[in-house]
Amino acid sequence: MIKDTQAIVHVIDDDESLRTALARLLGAAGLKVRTYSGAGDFLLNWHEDGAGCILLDVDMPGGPSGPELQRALAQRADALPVVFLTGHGNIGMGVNAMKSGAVDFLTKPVERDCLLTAVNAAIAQDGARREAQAKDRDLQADYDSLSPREREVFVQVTAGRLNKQIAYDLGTCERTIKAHRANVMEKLHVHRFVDLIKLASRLNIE
Amino acid sequence: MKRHHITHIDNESQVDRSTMAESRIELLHTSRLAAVGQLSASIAHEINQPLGAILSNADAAELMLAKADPDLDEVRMILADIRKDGLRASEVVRQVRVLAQKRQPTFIEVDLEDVSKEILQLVAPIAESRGVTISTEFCSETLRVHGDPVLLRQVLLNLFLNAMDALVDMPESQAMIKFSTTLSQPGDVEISVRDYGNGLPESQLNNVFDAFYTTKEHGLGLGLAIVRSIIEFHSGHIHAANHPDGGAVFRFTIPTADVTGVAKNPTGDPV
Repeated sequence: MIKDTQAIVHVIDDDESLRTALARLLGAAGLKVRTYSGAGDFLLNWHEDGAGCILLDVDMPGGPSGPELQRALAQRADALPVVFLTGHGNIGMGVNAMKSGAVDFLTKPVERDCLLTAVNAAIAQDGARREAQAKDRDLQADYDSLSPREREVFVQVTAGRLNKQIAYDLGTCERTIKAHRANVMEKLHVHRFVDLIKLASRLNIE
Repeated sequence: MKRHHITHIDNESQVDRSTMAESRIELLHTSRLAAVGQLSASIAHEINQPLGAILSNADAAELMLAKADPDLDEVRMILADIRKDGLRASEVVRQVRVLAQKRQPTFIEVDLEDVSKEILQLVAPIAESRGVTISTEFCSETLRVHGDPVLLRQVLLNLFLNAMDALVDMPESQAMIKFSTTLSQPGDVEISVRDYGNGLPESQLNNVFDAFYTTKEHGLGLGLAIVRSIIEFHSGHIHAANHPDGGAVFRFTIPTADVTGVAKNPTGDPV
């Protein structure tokens, strides 16, 4: 995972003039921008690991349309949030786009504040998703560092069983279980039993 | 359109003739307005693109100028682009006005390939929004005819809109229009617009060009009548047929400019 990459707004619009204008505006507002002339151009030149969002034109003749690209990208876990722009939007189109996960659906010509609000919201959404995914990855790594015996104790403890019972089941003494339990808390960086239970639910451990 | 032989005494025939000419122009005007209505989504798109660019460019320039050390060259480039897009939007408006305004037909030398490509560009967004694919096949020869470009645009526009209407509710594999041009003997430009829909009822093949004949719930039944009157006004012919492999074909011919000559502008008998 590349740390501290500045979010990039990927502007996809077949109209060169509009694309340039949008890139200038977003750039002047302090955002990093890349432009693409169509869905194909984007798929060929997009570097997948970067943070950011997509500002996507709905109507692009001669190639996949905006919604088609969004549907294709939405399959991926690392899908960038999409803000749609359309020249002749109707309510049905907007509803469908929002249902399939678009952050916003703007009509051209778009006001600066609307555009910047939507784009910033999309970037924030992407940031939150990345943060959550990074936390999940860290947690998984911590969990993987547990020994098989520690994992067993972790499962039993969070299932609400007493040290005594676990010790009996595993054929050992209560003090050993206590030691394992302390190791688990340390390796998973928690100090309270309640936090251990929360981690178990995040790790989908029943 | 049938020639109306006016056999009254001279004065009356003059009046009749001009009234009829007026009503025909009126009819054309009405159908053009209807077409403009149908094209509104396309027109909105064509205008909103440059407007969007103008707005965003102006917003960008404003943000740039608010900075301590603005890049004036960049701002100059923005202003040039704003100007260019302003002209682009006003050109669209001009074209719409030409399409919508009442006018006397004017004959000039027209390249039907250019006219076809203009109309294809205009209908492309509509076709796309309806999931219709248009394939084209242009012959290598120049398709020069004497005609009124606005009226000829109207012909192609009506034929495309008509073909797209025939494809409503068709499965994607059939939602196709094939457009082709040929230079047929002797010196006729032939253009055909074929759809892959359900075709026309055989018994109605002769009636489709009649005014107020329509199979559409909300149609006026004027589109194809207008088409035929324009084609005949250009000394051409049009006919409708069902393709053996399904769908309807509208095929029209117009004499090439060389054959037609310059004397074809019947200014005294408009449309």
